[in-house]
Amino acid sequence: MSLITIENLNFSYVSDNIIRDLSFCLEGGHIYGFVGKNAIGKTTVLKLISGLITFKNKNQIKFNGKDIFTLDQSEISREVTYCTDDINTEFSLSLYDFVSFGLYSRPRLKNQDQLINDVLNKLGLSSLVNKNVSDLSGGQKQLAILAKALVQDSNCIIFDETFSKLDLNHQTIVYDILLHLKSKNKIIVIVMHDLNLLLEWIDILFVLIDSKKIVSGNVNEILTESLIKEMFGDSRLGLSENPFTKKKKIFFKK
Amino acid sequence: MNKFFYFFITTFLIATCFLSIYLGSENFSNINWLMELRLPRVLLAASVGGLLAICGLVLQAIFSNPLCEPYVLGVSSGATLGIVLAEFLGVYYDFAGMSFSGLLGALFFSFILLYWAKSNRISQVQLILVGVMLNFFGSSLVGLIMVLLHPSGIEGVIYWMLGDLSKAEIGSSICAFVVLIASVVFLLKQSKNLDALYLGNEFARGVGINTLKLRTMMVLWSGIVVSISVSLCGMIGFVGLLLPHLIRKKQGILFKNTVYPTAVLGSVFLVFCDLVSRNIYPPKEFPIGVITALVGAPTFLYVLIRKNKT
Repeated sequence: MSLITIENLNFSYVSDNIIRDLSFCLEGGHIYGFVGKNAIGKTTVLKLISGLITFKNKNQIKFNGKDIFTLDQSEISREVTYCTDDINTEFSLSLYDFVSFGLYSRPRLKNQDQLINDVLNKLGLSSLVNKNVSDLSGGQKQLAILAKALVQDSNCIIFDETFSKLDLNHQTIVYDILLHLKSKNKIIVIVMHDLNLLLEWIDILFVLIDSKKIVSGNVNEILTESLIKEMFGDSRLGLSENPFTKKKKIFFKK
Repeated sequence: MNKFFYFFITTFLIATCFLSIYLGSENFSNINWLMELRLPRVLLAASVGGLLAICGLVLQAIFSNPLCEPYVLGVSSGATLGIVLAEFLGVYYDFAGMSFSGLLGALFFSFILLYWAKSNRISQVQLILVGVMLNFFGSSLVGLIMVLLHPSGIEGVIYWMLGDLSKAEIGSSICAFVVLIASVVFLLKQSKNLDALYLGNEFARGVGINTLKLRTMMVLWSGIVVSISVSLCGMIGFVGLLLPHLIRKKQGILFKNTVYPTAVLGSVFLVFCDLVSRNIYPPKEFPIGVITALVGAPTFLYVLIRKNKT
């Protein structure tokens, strides 16, 4: 079972203290949702976990008890994949070559072509293998990023706003994939501003209230109107239930 | 397909070199003269052309920016400043034509750029502006030192700013050629790492590459390459911009498919520019930088316009 523990995490960019004494842990076999208002530091926390931001404090991020400082970049990429659609597409690269970057840290894997083609097939991208990533639509680009993450097959996959441009059909395909990853004991972390879709998909909700306060727990247990008010500072938002899945949903009351 | 293409461009390079050795203001019948004067010059043009072209290719990858090349980023002018300053202070040392002070100057300017790009999260166009300013600053200091303090005065300024292949010697030309071959092999070995950098620093780290080590290594390499070319023939601009663009259009962006053709066509380009500069108005010679800039500057604008459209 993979486990990521974050203990008293502190981090700041030059002057302002963004993250202070933040502690939580992520376990395999769960889908986590990260919410909080803009600029609260969600992306910073997740990039720190992914080893994408260099910082100096030891013993604050551990993968199965091993400090992130003891791992090299390639080992970190086997532990965590951070997905964002904020990638440089200035240079034209084919979809196939893009997805194959997922195999960088697994050079000895056999049947690499087969793996890439299977993933592309599953996401309905096989007809686009030779197309340039810069020419793909927003949704297709997000699927390409998901495909790369699936090929990379890390223990934890973080999706930072990478499902925002998917149509309904692809949303259901992606959800099936997430459930499959969950069954393989992966840690899935999703950041998404479409809260109602997020609440539908996740098991455990992490709410970043401010730079050091994080509330977490089962979605239906912790999500209350007062928490939403604390989160976004707006009292016009109310909660109701999806009649089919019984999961909570957020609505405007007026 | 690739094999045929590689064979074709290599043959093209050899043919261009022969043509360039043969054609000149005076038709030499004496084979020794050809060997002593033209061969080193053509070999130097081929080596420096190849080196500058692959240097542009690498700088474009490490800064994830298609407008980068050593001249535009000011790295060449850093090398020139180092050389001129060391000459003035009487501490000029070199090894087979490669100046140590030139290397220090080039590295100093490169690390300013790298640090600036990293710490200030600047946009791609801002990075180029920083480079252009470094270029102006370095060139102005070179001009100042040469005119005030150096016996060669304004002529020396023209030599450094616009490049000159006429001082080629066979020993240093062979050294530059060996560095070119070694660089192509080195880059082919690093090709997979460099490919990921095209998509940005974070992307490359995310797939498991130690980007700090890789970028530092590449900046060191480009410093060496630029200082060699500047020590031997002054600043020659735009070679590193034009060729990588043409090659990527045909071959895609992966380094394994672009390094060799970029080096070969960089060589062809500079040998050809040298041929033109010697034969356009004989017996006068045009500075080679004038010819490369006449082709390179419009290419820069073309890339910039295309970049804004997408």
